[in-house]
Order: sequence, then C-alpha cells, then structure tokens
Amino acid sequence: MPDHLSREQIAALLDEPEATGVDREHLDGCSECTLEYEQMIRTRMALSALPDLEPPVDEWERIRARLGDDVSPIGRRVSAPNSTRFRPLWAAAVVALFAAGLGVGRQLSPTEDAAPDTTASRSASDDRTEAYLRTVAQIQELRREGPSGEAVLDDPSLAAERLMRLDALIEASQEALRTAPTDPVLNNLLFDVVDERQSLAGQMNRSLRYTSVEY
Amino acid sequence: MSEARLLEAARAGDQRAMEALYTAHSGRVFTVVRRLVGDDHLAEDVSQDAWVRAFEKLGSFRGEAAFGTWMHRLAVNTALNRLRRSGRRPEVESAAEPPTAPPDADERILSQRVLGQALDRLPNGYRQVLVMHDVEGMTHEEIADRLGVAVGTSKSQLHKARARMRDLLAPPMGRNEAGNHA
Ligand SMILES: [Zn+2]
Repeated sequence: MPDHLSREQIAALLDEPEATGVDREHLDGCSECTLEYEQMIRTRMALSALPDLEPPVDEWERIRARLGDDVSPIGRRVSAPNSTRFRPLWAAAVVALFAAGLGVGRQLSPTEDAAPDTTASRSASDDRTEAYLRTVAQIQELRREGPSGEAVLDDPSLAAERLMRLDALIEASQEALRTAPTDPVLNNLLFDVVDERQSLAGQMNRSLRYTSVEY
Repeated sequence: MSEARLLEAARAGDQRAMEALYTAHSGRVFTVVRRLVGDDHLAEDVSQDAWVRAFEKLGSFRGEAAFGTWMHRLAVNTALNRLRRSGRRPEVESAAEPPTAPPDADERILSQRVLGQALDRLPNGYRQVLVMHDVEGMTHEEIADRLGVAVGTSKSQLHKARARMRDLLAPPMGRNEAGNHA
C-alpha cells in the first residue's frame, strides 16, 4: 500500500468527484483515506449550514449616529408608558399598529408598485410608502421602548415586563405576517423579537433555578 | 412594500427607510463580515463601516441586482479591504499556531460553536477563501477577483484551508502532513 493521501490532496478531490488519476485511485481503494474524505465532506456541509449571526443590538444606533445630519429625522414617536409597570393597553396598541401595517401591506402589492408612474399614482404610492415607513419605524421604536438590557436581568419585575412586551410584539407581528408573509422587514423584526424572547426566557429560567436552590 | 420604494426613500435620506433596509439585511451582512474577519470587535467595526458606506453610496446603486446582493458584495469588500489595510494580508503559507483540537472535539458531533472557533483560528488567508467558497458559496473566479489573485491560487488556498480546518477539528494522529503512515 503506497503512502496515504495528505488532507490537502483529499481536499482537492472534494471538488472533483469525477476526477481520475493516482490520487483518486488511492482514495477508491483505501478505507482510511475514504474515512477522511467523508469527514471532510461532513465539515463542508456543516460550514454551508452555519446559521446567521446576530449583529450587536445597538448597531443601528451607531450607524445612525455616524450618518449624522445626512438623514432626515425619524417619524413621530409612539408614546409608550414611562412607568416601569407594564400596562395591558400597550399590547393592544401594538396589535392595532400591526393591523394598520397589515392594511398598508395589502395596498402595497408588487403589481401596484410596478404600475406606470403617472403623477396621480405617484402621489398615491408616495402616501402608501410614507404609511408603510411610519408603521415600520413605530414598530422599531416600540421594540426599543421600555426596560431592556442588563437592567432587566437584575430585576425580575422588569424582566417580566420585557417578556410581556415581546410576547405582544410577537403576537401582533405574526398577525401582520399572515397577510404580508414575504415582507423581509417584518420577517426580520419578528425573528429578532423571537430571538430576544428566547434568550430572555432562558436567562430567567436559569436565575429561577439558582434562586430555588437557595431554599 | 417593494424594495425599490424603500431604496428610493432611503436615497432621499429617509432614515426610516434606511432602518427598514438595515433590518432586512443586517443579519446576513454581520454574519459574512464576522466570519471573514474572525474577530468580534473587528466585525462590529467593519459591519458598521459597510452600512455607512452603503448609505453614502446608495446613489450609485442602480438596481440591476437586488439590494441584498449589492450589500453582500460591499460587505465582503469592506472586510477584505480592512484586513488588507491592517497589514494582515492573505498569507499563502502562514505559520499559524500549531493546530490543537478544542477540548470537547468529537468528530461525530460537529457543533456550530466548535466549527466557528476553528474558523476563527485559521490564518486570515485561509479563512477568507474557505468562508467565501464553502460558507458563502462563491466561485473561485469571484474569489480570485476579490482577492486579486489567480484562480489557481484560490483553489490551492482552499485545499490548504480545508486541510488546516480538519487539523484543528481532529489533529492528525494516524497520518501526517506528508501523507505517510504513522
Ligand atoms: Zn490512504
């Protein structure tokens, strides 16, 4: 039996399954090199299946700060309770907001957007764009409002409030996505909120477990 | 909502439209940047740079490709330029730290965490080609173009990178680099 193939030689064969030659012949007749070949395929598959990573939570704020005065001011802020106590009405407000976005989503079909740009339709589509942007900006704003960050983890009542806010956002965004299922902005918002909720719930469970150990 | 309308509003400087575009693509952008540079802090910096550049250059985006494709390209270029500027040129034969497997390495369970750690430990040149080809699915022609190297160089770098990756995940025991029996 000649020398085994090096990993580099095996890596080259990965891209050329139809290749012929000395290396290929060796591979076909050597169980040890075949095992390494299979492991390399497994690694490659795992690499291509790596999930997306989350950008830092304050990334957008930093980008906005760097863009400075070149951007126009944000749309009207949605008033949320200043009190750290969660008000059930807030959830209803979020649902109403998404319902409004739902209407906007219905109006903004791709075919309508592709319509000829006459002055009249141009003005109508500008209005719809404005309505959509206002809705999305308000949703983003709502997500930023209320208790968040490290402070939430130190205070169970703040954590519970944040959890309820996230639940309300999830419920409402799922409702909105039923009519606009492919909207990438709404989809990513939902993804972010679900991700934050899972992380927060996990951390709350862990601290509960630690607390119960003390008793 | 069509992306064209969002882009139009963003070009006009509407911050809400910019944030909506950011929200739709920030995960993909941060991911490719982070994988390419192999470091959390540098990735945060480069990802921000990419977005700022994108919004500054939005006027030059003609819309032949989807915004996501354009943004991905810009993010990759920003990351590669940063690595170049910082003097960390893609090395062809890097004297990287000797490969050692993570303590819990198990060939049967290739966890994403272990895989990510191994990627971070690759020399920059290897990591860039491996990420662009095996993670991002780019062709050797595209990679060669971005790195300013020959297609053959991209291929050989990839093969070395895969081998080094395997060395990190499962240190060679029964085989050595010359390919001989132990
Ligand atoms: Zn062999």
